[in-house]
Amino acid sequence: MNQPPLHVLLADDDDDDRMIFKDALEEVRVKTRLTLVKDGIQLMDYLLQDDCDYPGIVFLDLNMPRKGGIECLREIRSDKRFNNISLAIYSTSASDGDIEDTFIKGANVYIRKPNDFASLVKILEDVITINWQYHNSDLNRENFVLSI
Amino acid sequence: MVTVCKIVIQEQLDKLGIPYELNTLGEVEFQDPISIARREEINVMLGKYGIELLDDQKIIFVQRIKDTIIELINLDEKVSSAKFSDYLAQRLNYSYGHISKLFSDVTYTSIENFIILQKIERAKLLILNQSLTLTEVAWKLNYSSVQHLSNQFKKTTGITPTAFQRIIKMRRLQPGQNS
Amino acid sequence: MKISSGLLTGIFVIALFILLFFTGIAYRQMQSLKASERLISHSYDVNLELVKLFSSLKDTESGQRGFMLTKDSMYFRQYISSWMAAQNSMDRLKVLVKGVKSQETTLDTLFNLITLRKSTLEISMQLADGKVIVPESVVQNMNEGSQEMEMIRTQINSMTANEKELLAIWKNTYKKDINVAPITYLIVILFAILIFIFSFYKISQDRTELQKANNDYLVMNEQLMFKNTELKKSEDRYHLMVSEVQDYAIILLNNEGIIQNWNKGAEKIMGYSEEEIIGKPISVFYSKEDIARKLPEQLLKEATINGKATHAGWRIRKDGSRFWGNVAITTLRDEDNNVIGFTKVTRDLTSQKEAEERLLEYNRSIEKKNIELLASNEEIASFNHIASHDLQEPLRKIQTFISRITRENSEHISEKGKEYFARISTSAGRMQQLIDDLITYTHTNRADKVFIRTDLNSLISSVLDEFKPTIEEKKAVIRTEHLPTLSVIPFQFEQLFTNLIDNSLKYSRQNVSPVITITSSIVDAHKVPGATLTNPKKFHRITISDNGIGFENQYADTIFTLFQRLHGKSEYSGTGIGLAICKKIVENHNGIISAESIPNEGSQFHIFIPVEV
Repeated sequence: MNQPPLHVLLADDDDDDRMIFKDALEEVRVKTRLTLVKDGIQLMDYLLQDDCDYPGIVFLDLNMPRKGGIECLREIRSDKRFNNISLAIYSTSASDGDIEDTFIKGANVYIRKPNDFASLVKILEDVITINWQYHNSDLNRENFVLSI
Repeated sequence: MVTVCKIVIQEQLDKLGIPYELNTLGEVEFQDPISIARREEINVMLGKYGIELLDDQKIIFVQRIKDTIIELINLDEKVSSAKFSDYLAQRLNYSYGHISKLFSDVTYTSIENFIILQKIERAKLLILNQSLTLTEVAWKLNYSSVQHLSNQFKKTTGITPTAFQRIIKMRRLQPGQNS
Repeated sequence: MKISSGLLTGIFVIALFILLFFTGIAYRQMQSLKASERLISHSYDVNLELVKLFSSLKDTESGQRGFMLTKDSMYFRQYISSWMAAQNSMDRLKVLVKGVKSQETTLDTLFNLITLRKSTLEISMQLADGKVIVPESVVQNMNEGSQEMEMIRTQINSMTANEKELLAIWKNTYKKDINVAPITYLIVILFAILIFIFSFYKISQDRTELQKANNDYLVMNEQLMFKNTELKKSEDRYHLMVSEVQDYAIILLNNEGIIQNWNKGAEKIMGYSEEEIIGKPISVFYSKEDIARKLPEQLLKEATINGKATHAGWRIRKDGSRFWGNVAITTLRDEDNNVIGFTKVTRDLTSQKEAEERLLEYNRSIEKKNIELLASNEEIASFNHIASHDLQEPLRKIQTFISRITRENSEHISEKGKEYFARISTSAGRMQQLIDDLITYTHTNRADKVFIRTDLNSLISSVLDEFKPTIEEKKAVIRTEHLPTLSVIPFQFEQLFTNLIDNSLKYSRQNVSPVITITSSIVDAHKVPGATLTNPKKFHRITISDNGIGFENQYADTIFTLFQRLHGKSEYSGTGIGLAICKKIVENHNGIISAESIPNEGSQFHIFIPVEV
């Protein structure tokens, strides 16, 4: 029996960041497959399509044109269909208060974009591993809160 | 992707001439028992496509490790982390090195990390159960001090226990929240 | 002569004491006179007694001789009775001489001789007992006896002479005493007379003064009556004055509020002449709106109830223009407490009112400016925040790409290229640090501060946790005393200690393991540099000392200024923001931060936080 690769989705308007993210994800030991979208509208369109292949985890940039990360966060968390999707905010550093606010709105993970490639690989690996634990080890996903 | 995966497996197994059956869940059932050499062949073949062969035994064993750990953590009687390895080895009848390697192969985490994660998860549940103070939680989970628990909590989750408590409380007050 | 009663009492008390003193001396002189007298008579007694004693002794001798010769018991009886008389005299002498030392010793010798004499007499009587012819031994004994008798006589003579001398002394004393005594008595009497005279003088003088005061009073009474008439005159003048007062309108109203009386001020303020206005109701000065809401009636009613009423408001002049009047109405009552009218004093405060309004307008504009300033401050802060964020983005990418290139393609890059990349990486890292610190600095500015009672011990220990790798690497020793629990903004205090400890670790001396000590105490405000009178009396002082490179004390203030660095970038990393953040944080807690240092020995940073009351 085989474990299917984890479906990861990244919503970020920045080309460079999407590229760096993609490269880093490829170095993560856990097998994944990546879907990329450029903003909040594209993200919601993707998620709301019929027979959508739901991602296990969505990485959300906060500052995106048309529809921002916070708005997506709110929409995703108010739709029961997306109950099993973990949400990771992927943004530049912010104050503890702002981070807490995204957790309250339903984010599971807050990642401050690191300025070193190796760190990003490590962070993604940690997030995906822990996310995997929550999916596979009978942990209460309500309590999944991680700030890196 | 799942379909792509299935096709790859079908192709490769056909190539090797192994009789099998594929059910709708994507699970492959071999009709004849296969030798170890054969297994290796299949593993190498599928490895090219990023597909790894895991046998039921391994997964079941990892599950047993996990169950044992969770059982230990939830036990009211306190077990120090140093004794965990002895306890696991004794209960599972394998050397700790073997158990540890198998575990990280399958789960991509070390047993130590898993234990910490589980302890912190248990701490979360206890913290949310408002009747216990942080000191009591620390004591219950065999931490030397509140400081120790707080530090490990912060290290594992990135936030402090009190911030966590606050977040979950506020999250439950959010309208239309269902996560 | 004017003497206060206190002084007078003092004089009398002293006089009384002097009088008592002299009386005492007089008494003592009398006593001593009596004593001298007694001593003189005593001396005579002694002499007499000595004579008696000697004759008694002689009698014993003759008695003994007679008995020895005749054996007649009559002589023996004479012998015995003479001894008894001698014994008597001796006893009396003993009593008389008591207390006079010289006489006592002489007397003792005398008595010894007498005792010796008695035994000699007794012996000769035994020797001669029953024998008619007197033997040799008896003769010898009798010779001894006569010698003894001679010594007794000498002794008695010497005593008598002695007593004579004493008598002479006593007589002398007596003479002196008897001379001095009258003088003392004279002094006592004279002094008593003096006091009497003085007292009499004083009493008579007081009487004179009393009389004089009485006279003065009568004169004053007369003057008072005169003044009364003057007052009457002044009252008339007062009325005149009121009518002439220009700055105040002073108006007399009857009990219905009709104007009875008008002064210059009223004319000047309201514009009506006396003829025009007398007999008009008070309401002529009020605006239509005020009349409609019955303000004049209300004020009179208020004055009737409370005795007076005050009001400030716009009033109308004769020409229809308005003025800001400050009005005080006082009720006038007759002896039966009936309201007979009102006085109304009005002051024109239009110019003051206008000034006040201008001030108010000015205040409002300042307030508006303040709000604008606040908004622009907010804008600056948010601009700062956004700018730092947007600045971070490209920087982070540069760093990420460099880290990728150097990690994966290092074998394709020349040594020179590697060095350049390393330099780019360092510069980017420095800029990153600068931006991070700036964000922290602006963040520290923000007003949303939540003060939470925090145990600084656990706060420090979590800060130290973060430093674990550096502490191990530098082999640093960090000692912490017991710290207080304070009401602080926890994350800011974490930042504060982080920056200070980081500073101490960073500026350590080469080849010297850093030793950092964190201590705490409570100090009085006067020991706090820069504390003003408005500060609380006591402060918590938390001191972070190190043994690092230190700095010249002249820089103790400048190091807390933004972007102030004392060292080259290549020597010690740092952005020059860390200590500025510390200062801001301490100030957010109404505290004071200061530093002192000795170069190459170490620095001390003091954090002063007011003790909560």
